Amino acid sequence: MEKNPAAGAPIAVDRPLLDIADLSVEYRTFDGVVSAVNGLNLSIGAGENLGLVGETGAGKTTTALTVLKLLPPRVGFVTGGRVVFEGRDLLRAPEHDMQTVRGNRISMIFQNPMTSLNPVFTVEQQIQGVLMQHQHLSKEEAKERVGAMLELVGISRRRALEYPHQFSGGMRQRVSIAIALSCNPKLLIADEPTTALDVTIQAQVLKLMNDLKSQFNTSTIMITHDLGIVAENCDTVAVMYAGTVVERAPVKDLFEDPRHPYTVGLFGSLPDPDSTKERLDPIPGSPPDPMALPAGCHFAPRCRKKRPECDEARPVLRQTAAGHYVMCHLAREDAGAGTGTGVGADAGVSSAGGDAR
Amino acid sequence: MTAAAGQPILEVVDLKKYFNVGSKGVLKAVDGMSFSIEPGETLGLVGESGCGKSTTGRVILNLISASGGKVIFKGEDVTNAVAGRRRREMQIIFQDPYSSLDPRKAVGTIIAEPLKVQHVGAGRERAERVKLAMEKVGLAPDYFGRFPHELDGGRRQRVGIARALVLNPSFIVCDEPVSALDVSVQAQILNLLQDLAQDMGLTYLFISHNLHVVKHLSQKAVVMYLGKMAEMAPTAELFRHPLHPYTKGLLAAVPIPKYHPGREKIILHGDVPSAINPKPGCRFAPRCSQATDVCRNEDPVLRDTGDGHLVACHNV
Repeated sequence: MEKNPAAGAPIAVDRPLLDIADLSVEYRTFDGVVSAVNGLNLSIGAGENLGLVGETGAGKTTTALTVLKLLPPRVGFVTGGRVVFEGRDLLRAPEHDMQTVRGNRISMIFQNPMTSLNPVFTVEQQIQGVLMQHQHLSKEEAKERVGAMLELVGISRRRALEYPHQFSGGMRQRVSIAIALSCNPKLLIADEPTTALDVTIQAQVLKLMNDLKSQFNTSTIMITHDLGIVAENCDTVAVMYAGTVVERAPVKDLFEDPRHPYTVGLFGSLPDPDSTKERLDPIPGSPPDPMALPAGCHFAPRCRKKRPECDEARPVLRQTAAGHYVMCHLAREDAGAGTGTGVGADAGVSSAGGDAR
Repeated sequence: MTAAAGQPILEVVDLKKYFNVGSKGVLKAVDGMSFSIEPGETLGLVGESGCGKSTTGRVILNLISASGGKVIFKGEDVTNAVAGRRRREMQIIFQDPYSSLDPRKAVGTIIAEPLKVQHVGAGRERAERVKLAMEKVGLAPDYFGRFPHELDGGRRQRVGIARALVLNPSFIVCDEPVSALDVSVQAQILNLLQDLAQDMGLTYLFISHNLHVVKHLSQKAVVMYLGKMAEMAPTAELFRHPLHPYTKGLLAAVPIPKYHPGREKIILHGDVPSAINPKPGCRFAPRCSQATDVCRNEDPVLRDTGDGHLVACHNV
């Protein structure tokens, strides 16, 4: 493991596992510059299960791809910020270092297993490859581990020589999970892992992920648009809107006391399974054009509580209660919770003092 | 909201749709569906992908022909014969507003197309009707000359709804109309569909895999599994007292967006089997924890347990 400096470096106890600070990412396209991520602050501690929610185009997947440095070349550019993982800034790490991080220390499960698995290799070959590359196992050792990994995700060892198309959607996603967890990563990023699946299959896959997460002691970022999945599978939540985190809190606080008008609007938009509300209370309008973001608060044009200052200055993410951060000029603050300028060094959002190098 | 009991607007009797899949055999996509919808009522049709819910909607509208059974609309047998005058009364809203709108046509032309096909009005009158439909769905008049790619998902779906409304139909099949939309936009469209139903006295067959949406919108709901009806009941009753083991599993599998530590989960095992050459017996038996020998050999019939709550299960 000599090659992996991150693995050897001692991590300060109070330092988060992953700390994203002031991250901005843009896509330079023929039609113009798309601001996909705009000054995002987010950190995740060891063993934490974070839900990252937001609507299409909110920047969830872009954030994940930036962490792994998998942005499309010549189109996606990081224009500022830091992504500190295990004490060092990945954005400044050379590519050969990234290869020891990707799939090994941080791994990812993608939305559509039909496109993320390689159709011309057997399941065994695909899991084996990861193990040989990162764990430096011999072919035979890797083969043995493949069988164990498959059984762990509920697939019979005998199916190892089959190709992805021979599996159902839920089974394919299990294979993706086996690949992602095969190197025992510290951080698992799951990007809408169950969106392509039916609810009964989704329940199976989520249960499997939860069981394995605790078994492997892996931190996870669960990217989803489904607040129900977050409520049932995560410890903390970050809500994204127009490329930034607008609210971050423990699950209980966010669901019982949402403080950002966008989060409140999301809950109003959902049919409530427990009550018989006659009408939904949607957020008016549509998300802003990422090529022409408003000058002040990005949510202001759709906000019902908007005041003149909202159009002028962009709010900062500030702490309004213990561990509860909100990016809104008007958010209510519990006594003693606020620090004025929110970015604090504790729990949710941190400014971690640069990288170790 | 249910209209006075009388003649249902739509009655489906033992509807079947089989597809020949070459040497493999027969895919029984819809295998004996029977239900009726009262005027002004919304019937929710739920189930997982591949259970035949979309096929049911399309067979009713004669977008594909039925292999058996009957579709009765306003007392007339319209099986495989929805066209012309009947087509004006029976319309559909599609799931994906990206693929159901012709990218080369302007919004006004797209919405006017049903008028053209049905030879209704001409020139100015058509334009007036299109504008009226646009107004009903909340599309500003300046979208008339725009193209679908200039519109976001919510507005595109409004175009799809306006197209379905322009002939003043009385019955609309809504085939997953909000599944492709984000929640905040989804809520706008659901409210719109509700308002339209009330203002224009529309009857919907609302097809969705989202149980919460069906619960919110429909008065009666049908749960489908592999081409068959598992359960049918007034929506509130179905959600409060599900009887079929599949309905129970389905309801338990849907994540609830609320903080509720320790919610009990029933996890259904296995995958939905193929509808090609289904085995005899209850189609849910291979995944059912209560399955007995009877279940594996005899197909359960849909029977009334009282108060319009129908279930197809040997063990209820």
